[in-house]
Amino acid sequence: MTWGVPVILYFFLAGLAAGASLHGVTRALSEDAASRKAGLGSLSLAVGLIAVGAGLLTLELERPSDVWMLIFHANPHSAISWGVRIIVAFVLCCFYCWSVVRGGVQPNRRERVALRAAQVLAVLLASYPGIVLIQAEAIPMWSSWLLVPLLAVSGVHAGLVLSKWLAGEEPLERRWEIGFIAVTLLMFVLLVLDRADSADLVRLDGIGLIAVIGVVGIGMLAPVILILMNGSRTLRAICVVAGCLALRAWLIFGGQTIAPAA
Amino acid sequence: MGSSGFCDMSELLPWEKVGPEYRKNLKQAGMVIDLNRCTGCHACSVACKTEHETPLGDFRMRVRYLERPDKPTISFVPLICMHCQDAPCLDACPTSAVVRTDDGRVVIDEDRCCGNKACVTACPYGAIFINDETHKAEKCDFCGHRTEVGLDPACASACPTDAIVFGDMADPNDPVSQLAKGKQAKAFKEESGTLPTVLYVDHEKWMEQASNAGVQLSANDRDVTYEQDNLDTKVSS
Repeated sequence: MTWGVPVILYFFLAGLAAGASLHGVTRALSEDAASRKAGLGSLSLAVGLIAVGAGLLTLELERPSDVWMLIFHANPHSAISWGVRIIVAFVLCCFYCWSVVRGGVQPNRRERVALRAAQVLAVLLASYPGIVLIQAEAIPMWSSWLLVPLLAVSGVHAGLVLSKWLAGEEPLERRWEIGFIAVTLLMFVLLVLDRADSADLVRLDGIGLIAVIGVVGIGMLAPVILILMNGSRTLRAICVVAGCLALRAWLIFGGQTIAPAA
Repeated sequence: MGSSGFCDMSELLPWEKVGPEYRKNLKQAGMVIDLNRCTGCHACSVACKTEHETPLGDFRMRVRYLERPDKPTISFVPLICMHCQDAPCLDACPTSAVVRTDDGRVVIDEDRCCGNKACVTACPYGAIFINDETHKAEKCDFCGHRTEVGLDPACASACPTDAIVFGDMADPNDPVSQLAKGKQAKAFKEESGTLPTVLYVDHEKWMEQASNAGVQLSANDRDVTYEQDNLDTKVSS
């Protein structure tokens, strides 16, 4: 396979980082000082996750020592090239926001602009992996714009759930959580209906198991059941995060196992 | 010495002595491959491998042996980079290592390649591979070092049946343009919209599905190669 486990893990960590930073920034923008302080951990988590992800991405290069080329040689038509710039801007912005939150005072106007910018960058960070996949024209399963919202929503959802769980906060409101899962499920179903070849990969064998058990079973059904039954919030968080990882594994492995379209 | 191990031929061979005048100012390099003439002898792919010292298991050019669905015979289809006018690899490369030359060829600037494989996943023809020795992307460049001194690409030179014709697609008087027009040559996967400049005479739609991953080996390959012994290790890796 051309793209393997490091790419799956990177897409996973980028989604989590986006969700974590959105949580951190939301906290940082609140009026309550204690709540603002709570955002510090999520912003640190976001930077840590994206740093590990970028490291994995570097190892996936055939020539990791040439990673600097990705920064200094840009191609405005390349989604990966834009992605590199989004990662750099995201990390810098998160660091600045972190320093703002660490000060403990209410952010001033300029700092609030930076916090809003971090939110925009988080959405871009969660969305661009879908565009990277669309640009891989040799892989027919990836030629759907549904990948952008699918990866963005599932990543942000998992990141929010993880950061709230790590912060020891109450989980997302029930309607929000079910909303995130419903949108992810809708995008997933539309993708399967849109791409006949991806429908072949939703069954109880081989890579299809990742979709049926991992994406739908663990990532969607289990959290909904746990929400409705007021089950363990830890288990809910684990299921959502595992589903997010399974979705990426299914897309990357599955896409590359389908023969090119005629 | 060039990267292929040959000396600079422009010094040894005056251009006028080795090629026709029209080769001097190509506007759109292109190729027509006549599948009626191809005998599947692999002379082109062997010549290509020799010219570029391509590692075992990797191919800049590959002759596919495809079983016809309608009768018990085999068709031979030489596949190479299509040097698309709207090349997806060119857009996908984040370091701009894939560039278009003045004569319309799509080539890889090895000095800029960091091996992120975006071009490999972008090419609908499977024409790009990562060289296991250099760890950089590689593909057919229409033998730029040969064509710039008026020689045909190695594959066209080696073809014993003149099934491969190289020339200027932008010049209506060029033999390659006339051949393409006269024999109604068509592109592979025309609907992908990449506007290939490599066209095929007697191209049939079923070949596109049967050619599978295109130039490179894949786990679904059914047709044999003269490097068959290497197939399993290459595909599994």
